[in-house]
Amino acid sequence: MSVKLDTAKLDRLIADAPGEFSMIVRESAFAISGDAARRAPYDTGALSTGIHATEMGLALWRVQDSVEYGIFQELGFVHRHGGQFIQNPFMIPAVEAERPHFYRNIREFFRR
Amino acid sequence: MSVFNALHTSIYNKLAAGTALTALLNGGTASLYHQSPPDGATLPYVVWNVQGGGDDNLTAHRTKNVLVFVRGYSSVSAAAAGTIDTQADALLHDQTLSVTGWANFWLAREQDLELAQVTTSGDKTYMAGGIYRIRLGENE
Repeated sequence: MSVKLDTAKLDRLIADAPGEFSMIVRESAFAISGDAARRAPYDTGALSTGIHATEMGLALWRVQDSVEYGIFQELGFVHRHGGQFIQNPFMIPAVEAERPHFYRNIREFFRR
Repeated sequence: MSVFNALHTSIYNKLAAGTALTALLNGGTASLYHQSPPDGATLPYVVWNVQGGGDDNLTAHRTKNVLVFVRGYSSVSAAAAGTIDTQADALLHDQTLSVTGWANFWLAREQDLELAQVTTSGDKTYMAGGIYRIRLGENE
């Protein structure tokens, strides 16, 4: 009796993974970027319109804002007039909202 | 009780029970603030809020997966804010919360954050804290 190990599906997964993962991460990066822009506080629009996604490498993307005060809106600050504590998180909520979709896409890739 | 109310009550109870933490704050347990301290509140104090997350929706059993940002503020120094953060971390990381109606099966710190803000008078407010992932399962 002989046993033959069929690695065809595994080989295909290995071959497809870099390209597929790049597409999945890209999709999530743009989803996070759009959602963060929607969630960001809006006055002049500088914060929300400056949020963008940039490809940094294979399956590696960075989503960031473009203004120096973005981190204060995200993490909170005390307003210089009146001393009110203000916080309008936009980036982390967007990441967390996308997390289930990202995991679902990864799972679907392995189910093929 | 909403899960948010139950969660915030449990976080307050956990932090308030830490005398090493509350001894560092201006008003002891009165300096533990959910979401937002009152305008002009006196430093040092602790603030926490849900920073993101929500329902897992993986199975019929309801589970929550949320990030809570807990941090200390000080007008003295970054180190003073860091000391507050250290005490808060000791109370939270790898610990268990008692959340009414829910079982807390995961509580772990995921990110360290610090920030300094300069006021119009030139003074600085220092922040040091962390983001904790909290996972809850609704009691059957």
